[in-house]
Amino acid sequence: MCRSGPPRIMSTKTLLIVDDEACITFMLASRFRELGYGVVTAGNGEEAMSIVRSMPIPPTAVISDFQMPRKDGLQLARELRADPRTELVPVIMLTARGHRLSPRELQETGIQHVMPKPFSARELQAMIVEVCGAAREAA
Amino acid sequence: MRRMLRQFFPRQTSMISGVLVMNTLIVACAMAALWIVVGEVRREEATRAADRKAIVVAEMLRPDLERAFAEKDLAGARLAIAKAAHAGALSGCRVSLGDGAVVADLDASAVTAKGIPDEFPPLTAEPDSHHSFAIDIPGKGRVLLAIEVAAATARSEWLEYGFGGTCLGAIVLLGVVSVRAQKRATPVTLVQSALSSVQAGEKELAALELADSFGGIAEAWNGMLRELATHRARARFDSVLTRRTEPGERDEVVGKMVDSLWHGVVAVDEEMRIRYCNGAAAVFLSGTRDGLIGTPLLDRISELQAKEKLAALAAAKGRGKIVVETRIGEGDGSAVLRISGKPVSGGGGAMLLIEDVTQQRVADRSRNAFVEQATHELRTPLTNVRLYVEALVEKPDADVSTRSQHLNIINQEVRRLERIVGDMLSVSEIEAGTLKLAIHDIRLPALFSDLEAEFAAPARSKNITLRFDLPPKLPTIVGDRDKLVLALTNVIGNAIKYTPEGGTVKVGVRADDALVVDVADSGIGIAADDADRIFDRFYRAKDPRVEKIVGTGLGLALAREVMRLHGGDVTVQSVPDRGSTFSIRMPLKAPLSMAA
Repeated sequence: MCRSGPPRIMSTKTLLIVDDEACITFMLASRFRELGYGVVTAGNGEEAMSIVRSMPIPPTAVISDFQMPRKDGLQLARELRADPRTELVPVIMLTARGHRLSPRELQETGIQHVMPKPFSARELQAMIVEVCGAAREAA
Repeated sequence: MRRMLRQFFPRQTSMISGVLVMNTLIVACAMAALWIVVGEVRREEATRAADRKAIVVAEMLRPDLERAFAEKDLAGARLAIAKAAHAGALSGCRVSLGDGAVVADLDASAVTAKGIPDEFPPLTAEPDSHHSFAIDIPGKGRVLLAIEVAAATARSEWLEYGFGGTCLGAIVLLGVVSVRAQKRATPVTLVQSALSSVQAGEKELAALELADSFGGIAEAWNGMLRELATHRARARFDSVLTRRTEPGERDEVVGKMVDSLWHGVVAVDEEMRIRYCNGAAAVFLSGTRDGLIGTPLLDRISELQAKEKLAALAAAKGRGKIVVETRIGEGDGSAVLRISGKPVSGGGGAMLLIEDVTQQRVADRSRNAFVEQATHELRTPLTNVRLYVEALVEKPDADVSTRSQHLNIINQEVRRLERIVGDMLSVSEIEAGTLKLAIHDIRLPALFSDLEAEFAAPARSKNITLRFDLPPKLPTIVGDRDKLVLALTNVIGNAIKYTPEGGTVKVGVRADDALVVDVADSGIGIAADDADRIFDRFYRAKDPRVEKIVGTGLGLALAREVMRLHGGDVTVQSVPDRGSTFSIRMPLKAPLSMAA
């Protein structure tokens, strides 16, 4: 997993990237792997939940699309928050919705970070760094 | 004729005056007749008396005249005449010869004969009246004696004239009196009779009018009638006006008008109790009109927010207007009502207008969902383009395969964007009714191989078996390629979208007299209720499984629209939970290249 060039971050940090758009998960996964993150991907919320349950250590952060088949990002965030093992895992919501998430939705699901589509990978990277740092401090 | 009679004998002429005039006329006629008869009798008597006198005088004169003429005693003859005239009180007495010469006359100046001839010429004319006599003079011939008995007759004529004059005078007097009486009394009696017919119930003023020829009183009477007619008309008009403005009736008229409104109209007092509501309002508030009156309006509103706003209206006391939307009823029967309220200025209470905006809200929701969905569908490929371009820019030294992979993805996403934008344009064109076809040759084999390639990835990701059954040879047809692709993409895309993982989607193509593409899936199927409506714009089936799947509710509407523009159609046959088969049919036309 060790590569030369880009700055390295401790590989203990794992990201779960969830999106039904394969192009997005592919691009984000390859980017964050290059940055030294451990990355797992899922195509929808249901898949993501089963992956989380199978992981010995929950991911450091979850990047999830909002609108997905079967189980959407909001439902995923709700379930993560309901599980004591994952209740503190920060969720970054990628949203293509025209309007912003309502404060009620944010409070209910514990989502603190929203990244509206289309976004730049750099912006997301900065957000991940911040979130992971905060998560480590919290932990 | 009747008119003439009417003019002379107006119907209002009183019987009394008629009888008076008739009596007068009859008496006058009788008197005139009597006068004539009496006059005639008297004249006859006088004539007879004069005749008798003349004969007596003539017989008295005869011997004297015979002797005097025989002796040629002219003076004696004249003396005898004068004596006889005096004795008989004659007005005239003459003796003349056959040749007309007057021998002797009471009036001496009338004598023309110088003397008595020896022989008398024969009489040319026989005595023609009772008053002339022929007297034989022996040896000499005959002479003519004419006697006028005047005095007695003159006296009797005076009597007659006097009597006749009196009669005439009486007639004239009676006429004058009757005319004067008619002139004066007739309009009065007519007015009297008119008044009595009014009393008897005559209402028609025209029937009471008198002829203007009756003079001043008639004119005055007619003027009064006309005045009365004007008053009556005005009174009738006034009464209509008054009736219109009578509160009860006005309320009824306005009530009927307001009742025919399809909007609800409610009047409330200061405590928001219903004072009036029309039929539509009663339906909206699910009550009866009579049952609602007097009850608090807020009892009918269940949503708290709407209640608070309406309560604020009552408190506002003549200021401000409010608009509240609230949902009433449950489930399918529920409706969205928009209540606009304005306090009645200076009167206390408020007027409320209730509109049913359920359909508008449904349409709004569909539109919003479409906008949201379109935004989402645009942002996703945009995100991909941005991410991959960013990667290419950041790593100019990346290996060739990575670069080409990234460029491929960018290309694919840009085409996706193009398609979405095309769809959205088509939607707006359909909305505006300006959707037109760009007709070109369409090479079907290439079209279907493109479609197969495009849907391979999504099908694979859901583990769906996607199979295209193409005949060995497909013709080149004429049509709008982009629109045909749009229809096929939407239908095949739907089939994959609504087919659970592990299912199959079969695309069967036939092209004999028409191009028929059957897209059969093993998906969730469509309920019969929804089957009719899935082609409606923005309509999405009520199946909860459908609601979990992203969609605009436009795809099938678009597909059907563009196929119909081609003279074809999109139809569906479905069994819920077993799957659906969509058939896209398009009539074949000779390719442009062949026709040219």
